[in-house]
Amino acid sequence: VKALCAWLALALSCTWASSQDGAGELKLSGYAKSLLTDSRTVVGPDEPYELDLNRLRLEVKGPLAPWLAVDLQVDNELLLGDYLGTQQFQVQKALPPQTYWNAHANWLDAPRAYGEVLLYRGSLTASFEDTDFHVGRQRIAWGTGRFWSPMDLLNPFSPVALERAERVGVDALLIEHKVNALSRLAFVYAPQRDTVDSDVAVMWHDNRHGIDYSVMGGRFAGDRVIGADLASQVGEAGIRAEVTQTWPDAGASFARVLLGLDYAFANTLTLSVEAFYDGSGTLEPAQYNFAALFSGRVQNLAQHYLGASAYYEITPLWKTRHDVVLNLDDHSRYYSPSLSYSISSNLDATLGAQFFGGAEGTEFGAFRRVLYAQVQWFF
Amino acid sequence: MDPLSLLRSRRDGCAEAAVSSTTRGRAILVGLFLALLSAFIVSPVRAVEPDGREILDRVEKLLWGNTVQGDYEMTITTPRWQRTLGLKVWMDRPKRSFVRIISPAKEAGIGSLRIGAEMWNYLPNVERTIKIPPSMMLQPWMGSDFTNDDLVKESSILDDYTHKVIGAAPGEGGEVLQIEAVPKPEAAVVWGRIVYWVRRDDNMPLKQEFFSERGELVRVLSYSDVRMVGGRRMPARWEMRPTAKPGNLTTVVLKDAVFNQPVADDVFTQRNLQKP
Repeated sequence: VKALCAWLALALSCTWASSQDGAGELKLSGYAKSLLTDSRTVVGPDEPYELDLNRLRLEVKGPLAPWLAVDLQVDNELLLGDYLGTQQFQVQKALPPQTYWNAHANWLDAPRAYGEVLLYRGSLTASFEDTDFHVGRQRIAWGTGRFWSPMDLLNPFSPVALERAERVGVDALLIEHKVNALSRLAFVYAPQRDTVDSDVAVMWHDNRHGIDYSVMGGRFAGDRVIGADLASQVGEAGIRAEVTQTWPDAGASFARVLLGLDYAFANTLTLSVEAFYDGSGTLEPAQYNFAALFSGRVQNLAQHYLGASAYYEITPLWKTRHDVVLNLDDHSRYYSPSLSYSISSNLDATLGAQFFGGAEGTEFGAFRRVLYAQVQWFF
Repeated sequence: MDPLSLLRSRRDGCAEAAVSSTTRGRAILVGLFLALLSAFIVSPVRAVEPDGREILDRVEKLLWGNTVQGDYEMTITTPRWQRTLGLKVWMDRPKRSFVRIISPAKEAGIGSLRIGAEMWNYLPNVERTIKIPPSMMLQPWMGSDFTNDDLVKESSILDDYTHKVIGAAPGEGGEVLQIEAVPKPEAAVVWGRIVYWVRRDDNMPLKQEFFSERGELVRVLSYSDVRMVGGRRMPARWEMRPTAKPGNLTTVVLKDAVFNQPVADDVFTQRNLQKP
């Protein structure tokens, strides 16, 4: 709570400082969202539940001085529903934070209501000539993948996450030096609670002959990793690729490979397909580590996957999206349709579902069907 | 002295200076010769009136300049709803352009960068920069009747098309030329042809008609509200109407602009794109 108060004080002082030296405008923005879900638990006893997640995100962004900018985003969440009484929620509450800095505080813990405030983003950026120094909680988005991204080791995400746009940030120092309009050299240091496992990496990003590419090398959670990605086009279609090679502290090295293809039709239908190979996965469902999957320590369990998404604007107000993920090893599958409607310029409503299929013991067979409804207002 | 006599005096003075050593008859012959010569000189000038390409070049320069830094407002209207977007645009023709949405809050921060034939979008909700495949250039931009290509002007009406004046007709404010632009065989453009309606006297664009490869009229872009913006007299209101969707309309209003001033190279960078 003290830390969050400190951030709030920083934001207010930033606003004041910005108004004093005329560096530019700090913008206050954010959103309010209510996400109602209906499903069953996958950890502990199989229990049906309803959960209503209500989130107010306040964002303060902008320049403090000609050379200094702030990005502060604080979430205030209120959870309601019988999910709070499940064993799964108790396990979830006890999980250690995924970030170095536990900028998170609980202000209400009742049987049917749980309130918390947490830091979503909180970083300062100092710019000198062509070099930016970013310090604090931030999103460092490396890689080109949509369902999977072997290069995105600092902010890994799950292809079946309900809120895929919400990415846990990383507490890090990021130094980026712009070499020209499309190329930059980046260095990142992200401390972990165990300093031995701190993430350190360098990345070079460039564009040559119509191809965006990056090469990266570093140490992530004790593993040595090198990798590369690219984004380009073949004919009218976009192509994407990523490859990494990892040498763990213990065990054999492994590779991860992603290939992606995108095509957009003039009628707004946009198709994406991705194939993913993960050498760290297993071909034996009996060896699946579901605890690591459910806690977010890994994002998949098997080796071979196929993902596809279709997005279509029925009208500029009505939009639909369909995601499919197949585990090619155990033949389990995931399908998520959603339909969004723009009620007004800044108010959206979404109805959607997540369906999982597969035999008992398979990756997606372990999940339960989710129905959800969401209303989100931006300001 | 009355004005007529002054005029006569000057004319006479000039004649005297020019033909001071000649007889009056030779002076007349010389005068006739000069008159014929000037007629020959002037006639070719009239014959090489600006061709279609040159007129469209003037139109493009009027609307965009060599560079432009402008605030635009785009309103998308259908029979059932309407929405308005605020945009900031930087353009360094013909190679580079940058667009940032500043309102409404839901879309604020979305940015587009084009350099040459390549384009990138920054999506603040996922905090990522995405390279746009060519097929996406023809998709509607933010639900409007403009495409991504219209917005960042990847294809060039001057370089990707051939041009011909196909007609002229009297119109409001003077004679109006119709200039047809037909894509070059190798050009990667979507239109079968585009017809510009441009006022001859001041190169003021009045409208553009976009035809499909099958010759169907697909949409019409009309220009109006001619006034001073950024130090030049130009249409500040542009209306795009798709012919297949009666009642649909996308209006772009140029609120303010600076033309032909250098734009910092830092604007057209991925670094800037990622700083909404």
